[in-house]
Amino acid sequence: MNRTLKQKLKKAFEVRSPDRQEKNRFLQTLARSQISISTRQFVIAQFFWLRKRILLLSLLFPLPALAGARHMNPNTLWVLSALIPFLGLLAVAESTRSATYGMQELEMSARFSLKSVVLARMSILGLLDGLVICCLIPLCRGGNLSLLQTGIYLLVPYLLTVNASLWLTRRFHGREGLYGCMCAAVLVSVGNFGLHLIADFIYQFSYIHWWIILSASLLGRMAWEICQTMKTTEELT
Amino acid sequence: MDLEEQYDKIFHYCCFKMYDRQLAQDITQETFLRFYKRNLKLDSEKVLPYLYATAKNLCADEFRKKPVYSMEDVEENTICDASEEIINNLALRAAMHKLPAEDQELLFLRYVQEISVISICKITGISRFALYRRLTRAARQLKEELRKEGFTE
Repeated sequence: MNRTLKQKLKKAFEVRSPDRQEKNRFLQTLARSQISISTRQFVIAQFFWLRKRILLLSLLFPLPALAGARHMNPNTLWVLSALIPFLGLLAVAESTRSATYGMQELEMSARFSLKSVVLARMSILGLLDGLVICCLIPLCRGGNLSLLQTGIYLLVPYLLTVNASLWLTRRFHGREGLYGCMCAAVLVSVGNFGLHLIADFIYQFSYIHWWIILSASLLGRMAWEICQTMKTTEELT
Repeated sequence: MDLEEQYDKIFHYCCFKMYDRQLAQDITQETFLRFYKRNLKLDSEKVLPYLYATAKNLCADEFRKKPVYSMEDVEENTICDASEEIINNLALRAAMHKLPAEDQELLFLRYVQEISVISICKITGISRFALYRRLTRAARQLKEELRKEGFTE
């Protein structure tokens, strides 16, 4: 076939280009669907981005309880409830790592939104800490304390530290925030141990309803703090 | 060839096969959705033939669903698309329509869309030799038809 006929043929079958808007919309949807992964896969991927030493430290927490249960049975709970704030500190420090090390911009330019990443990491660490605390409850139970009491006395210092740390990381950025969290954890730890020495009576069963109210309000406050942290992250992105 | 270019080519091909822009767009999008749903790891040069083959099958399915397209529709769409073209273009289209459907497709793919011989062989499932022979025959027939209508090259 000669060139002229080829050109004529090409011209004869020329069609108007496809609707540009429709085409772009479709191709964008296609591009999005190509990179979409399930929530489960996303959370698993985020688990592997958590620092191994943080996971290891969080999981090693039951060890002092085990040692305590053998050697200093009545005081195991108080030693552990003084250590528990540091578990909260580890969780908050790890989930806000990108803010602490000024990596937000880099994370924001990555495949997933920073908000989803932070939320996934917080959820993983929260679940891990919940698991550790659940394991500690039967190990720390001593004297005439019920399982509920043991659980609450462990949970309250943890929640206090997490709340204070989340609040501090929103107010102070970078390493200052991390130092603030450390201070909060130390304060809660010392305060918790001191309270046990000074005002032992508040740990009696008659006060349990106050402890339950305190735990519930701290849980609610933690949920609010997490929402606020998410909002701040969203504002950044 | 990027995704946009591939989209345009497949759309053009579907327009040629279906004479209906809306239907052509639907088939084009369905072609891409099927390709990505299968999550195939093809070499870049194999992607376009695969897309063409899928579009071709989808067009055939569409024909089976609605076996006879009225000639009025065809002519109307043809005329609409070629409204600004010179009268020669209409004659060329008319001459093309007189050829067997397979030959029309081969001419379209090779000379309108400028698809490589290897890719056309993959799309149509024929050998290079057979393709060359059929293209030559189709071109000769096309010229014949044009001559009958009183058009010269």
